[in-house]
Amino acid sequence: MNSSRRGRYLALLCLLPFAVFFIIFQIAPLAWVAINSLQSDSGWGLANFSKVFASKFYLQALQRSLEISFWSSLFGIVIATLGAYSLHKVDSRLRDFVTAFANMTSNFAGVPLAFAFIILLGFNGALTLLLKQMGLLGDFSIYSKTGLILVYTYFQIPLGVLLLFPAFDAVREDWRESAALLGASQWQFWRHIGLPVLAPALLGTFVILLANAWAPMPPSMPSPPATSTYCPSASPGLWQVISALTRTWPAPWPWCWWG
Amino acid sequence: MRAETGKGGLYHKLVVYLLFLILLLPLAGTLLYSLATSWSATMLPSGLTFKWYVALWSEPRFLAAFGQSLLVCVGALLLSVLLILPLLFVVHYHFPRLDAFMNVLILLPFAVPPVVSSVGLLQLYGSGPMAMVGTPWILIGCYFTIALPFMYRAITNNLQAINLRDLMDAAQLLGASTWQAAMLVVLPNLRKGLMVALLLSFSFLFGEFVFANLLVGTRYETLQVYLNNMRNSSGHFNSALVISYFAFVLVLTWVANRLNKDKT
Repeated sequence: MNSSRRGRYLALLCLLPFAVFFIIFQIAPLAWVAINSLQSDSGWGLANFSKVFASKFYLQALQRSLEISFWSSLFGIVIATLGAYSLHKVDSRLRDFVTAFANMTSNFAGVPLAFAFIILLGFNGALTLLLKQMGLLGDFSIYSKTGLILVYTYFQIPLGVLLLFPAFDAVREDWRESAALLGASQWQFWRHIGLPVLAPALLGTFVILLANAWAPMPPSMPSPPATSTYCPSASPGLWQVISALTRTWPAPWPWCWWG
Repeated sequence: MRAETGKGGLYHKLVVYLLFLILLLPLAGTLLYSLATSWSATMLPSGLTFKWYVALWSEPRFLAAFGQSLLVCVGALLLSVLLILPLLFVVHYHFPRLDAFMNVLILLPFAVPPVVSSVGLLQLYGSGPMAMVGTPWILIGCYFTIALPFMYRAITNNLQAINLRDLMDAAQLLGASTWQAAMLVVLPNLRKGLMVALLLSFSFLFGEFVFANLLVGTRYETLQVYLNNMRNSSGHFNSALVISYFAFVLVLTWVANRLNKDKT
């Protein structure tokens, strides 16, 4: 009994280094920000928050972030859903190859991705000049809202495909055959059986994509978040959904720049 | 799953090829641009050359940034392994109930975006007894927090798969001490899962930009910061940079996938 108790104390001691590092690099900075957000010239209070939510500048930034996250997630999930379903229907060699490729491109984010798009679609990008010459481009610019949504959608697609791919296992082929035998059309099958079965997965993935796009971007760059931390081989478990949710909501960043 | 044939099959094939094409296009374009002598307003570049790669790989600033990125990432992963392995072992072997608490705790690095953390970090460690801003040490610490949720989950899955308690009991019945059992029996069993977690963590730490830019910037330039600072130089040179970066990450993820497949 005595030795096992000592063992437990020793075990607790092993947790100490982790706790120290975690406090220094995660808890302390967060606590500093949280405490200072409540302090202003007039003492403790919510003055900073009311300032932020009364400021047109911050509200506009917030709204733009929301807009870009929303549209890129929406386009991303539509393309990913179509893609993931078709991936289930092609032969396994093509399927394995494209899934592996999606897995790899999901690491293609952040500054390098922004660069690739600037090089191709920037002011003097090769594609920009080419498309302009053909008169196809109109007034599209990568440095605009549409441009940002385009880049964001690009990095949402592989993530969406990887997360949705396992979900289509749930839509069983014999259901489709049964539905067809009972006289349902393709559309009716998807409307009443397919989509309801997929709904939780679609919703979960959509939330994750939102969170993925909602992360802050480096200043002055049309750039997606630098890291996307997820496990490519895992299906969207509750853990990821929760993490996505927590990352999405407590998030009006501007106030931390109050200084 | 069986492949569909006929008209439906053709449609699905088309969609998959289209998906592949969409994902490929920016990469292929950048690759072509990095190999082009010049490319403007024509369908294809006017000539092919390796000179941009030669220029890139003989640029001392690039090589320094590459090396520094490697150092920071490897350092951060070493630190993570040293801190997370004992933690996981203790949690799962001695205090299984702590796991639920840890699962909430490791959400923090997700929930707090790097920009927010950076504000606090800059204030706390900008000066005073723990002045670390501008040195690689602060990056190593921050990268540990980024890798934490991912490594914790990946290794937990692994621990659950190997039946930690039975393994420990068996080793102890045969006369091993707790320490010996952990090091000689449990650790080798985790090797492969750990490698996969490390490689994948490495590939996203290698792409980290916000912390590197805000906390350290040019004082200890990592690859991403260098890339950002070079944004006004030649597009061909930058393309070579992007492709080199991506090729490196590609090899890492490919190895990780290979290991992952062997495992199952």
